[in-house]
Amino acid sequence: MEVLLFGGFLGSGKTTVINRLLHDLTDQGKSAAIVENEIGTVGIDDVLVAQTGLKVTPLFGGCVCCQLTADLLTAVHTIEDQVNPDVLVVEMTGLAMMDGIRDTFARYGRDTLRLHTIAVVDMARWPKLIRAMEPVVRRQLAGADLVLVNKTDVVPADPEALEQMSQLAGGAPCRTLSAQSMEPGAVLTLIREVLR
Amino acid sequence: MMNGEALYQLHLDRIRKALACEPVDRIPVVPCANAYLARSQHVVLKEYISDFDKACTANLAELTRLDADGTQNVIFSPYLLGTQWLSKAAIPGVELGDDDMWQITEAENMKFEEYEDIKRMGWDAWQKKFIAEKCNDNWNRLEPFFAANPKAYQRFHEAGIPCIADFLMITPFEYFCGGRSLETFFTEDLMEEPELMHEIFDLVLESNLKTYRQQILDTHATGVWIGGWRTGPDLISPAMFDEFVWPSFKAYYDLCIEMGVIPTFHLDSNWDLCIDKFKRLEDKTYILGLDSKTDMRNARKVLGPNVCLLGDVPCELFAFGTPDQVADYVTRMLEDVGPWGVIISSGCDIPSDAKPENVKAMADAAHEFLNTHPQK
Ligand SMILES: Nc1nc2c(ncn2[C@@H]2O[C@H](COP(=O)(O)OP(=O)(O)OP(=O)(O)O)[C@@H](O)[C@H]2O)c(=O)[nH]1
Ligand SMILES: [Mg+2]
Repeated sequence: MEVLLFGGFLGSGKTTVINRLLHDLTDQGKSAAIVENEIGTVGIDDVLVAQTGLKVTPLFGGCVCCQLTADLLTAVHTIEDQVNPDVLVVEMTGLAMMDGIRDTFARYGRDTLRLHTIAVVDMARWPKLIRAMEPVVRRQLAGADLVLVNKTDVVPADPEALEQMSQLAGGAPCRTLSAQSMEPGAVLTLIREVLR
Repeated sequence: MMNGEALYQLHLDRIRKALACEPVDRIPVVPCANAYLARSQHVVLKEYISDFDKACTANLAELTRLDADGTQNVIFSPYLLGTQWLSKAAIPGVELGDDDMWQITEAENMKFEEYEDIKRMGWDAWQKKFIAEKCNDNWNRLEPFFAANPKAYQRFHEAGIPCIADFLMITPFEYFCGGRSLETFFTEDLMEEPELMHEIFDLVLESNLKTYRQQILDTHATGVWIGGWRTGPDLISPAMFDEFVWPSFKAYYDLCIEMGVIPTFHLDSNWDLCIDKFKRLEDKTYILGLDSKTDMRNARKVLGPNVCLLGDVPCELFAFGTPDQVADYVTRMLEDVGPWGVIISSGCDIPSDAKPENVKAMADAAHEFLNTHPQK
């Protein structure tokens, strides 16, 4: 099972990207399931959920994030047993640190899982973030296989910033986009190309 | 068999010896758990957080099975979380399914202008009002929990299990990092308005010191947690830690020492870059609770043999490991950083999906250690 794990700060556009991706996957006849580390109105496309019977599993973590990683892996294993979709998409809150999640999957996850981690960054907010909370940004990017630099319609991508992101992400590729206005198929193509 | 009171004293003495880094007759085990305790006793979370008698029974049953030397909480309500982070919490049986894990809602719950209200009203009055209006009326909802505490404490006492964290001391940083939400707090408040933050933090600290002093007296506290959830070097630089967090840590610590209460610094995530700061405190007076993300061996190296370390079996090992792996983890940790001045526990809470045999393996490995590793 492919596991695509999305992380990134509050409001960076994770759900928007995921909705596009789910449409793209469905269009290609692929089955998907989703884990949401969020409550209430998560914003996953209701119509799509109704049409495809897409399974949305909520994931709740005790205090902040110490229990979350173990709970996430348990949930992933359960979904593989019960649903076994082609792709499992996971949306984490901005507080989840991806390098820790990767370690846990590597140590305790099944061999059948192929985990890809994707950090979504809001280009418009990047300068502020890196100035005010470098340690968090560093840890968020450290475990990413791919960095999606979103909202480039608001602020165009700055090459220096992209360089810095890629460096923090251990050389992982950065791709710019405006998730709000992507053509059908474009998000999937982008992710495919990089995470082969 | 020993009666409850005698057992209680025996356990507490053992913990105090560990705190003082003196030899003990067995390595104390002091778990930290709530949802796991419910699950291990097949109590649905919705009931666990509303029927406190039942919760207390479950906790005692599991801690007794583990032959625990102490505990880090007696009963629990997730409404406490909202008061710590000025946030709403999603609650099993209310917003969530009956057996779903509670969760803090990360949102910008508090507006920037409200800092002015704090200045005007004072922290105590403001937070009471704010929590009533914006955090699901948590204080009211906590009333049954607080009402149930004396009886729960009595039952723990009779069972011989001391609690070393009777309540939590919250730093100003934690409240606003939660209430304003992580990103807004860092980018707007700390970065743009540091002077205002200092002013607010000082005000909160002064008010909390009064409240906590009274709370220590009211609860006859044995120990407290000084919480470091969002204040570690994973989130802020060591320089920011010194500027915005250390003053509250130090003030809370000083209050504990003055009042004869055991302070446990409960440190979530990786604190490697800030461990040396604790050298500023007197040896043998506090417990450093680490959650396995911090390198405990390095902490021992940096702080020396006279600081009590508590921890740090990783969550994932409880959930996915085997009893042998857990036992091995504990034994090696004690070989490397013990045997004196160590209290064995989970790193942070035991996860709700921990295997009971793994939790038992942790306790047994610690309790067996001095038999297999006799000290001269
Ligand atoms: N201008 C612009 N707005 C966008 C873009 N992508 C997303 N947004 C908007 O940004 C806001 C947040 O998007 P979400 O997709 O909900 O972000 P998220 O990361 O899932 O947010 P949380 O789950 O709350 O952390 C919404 O109002 C989106 O419409 C984009 O490419 N350009
Ligand atoms: Mg979202």
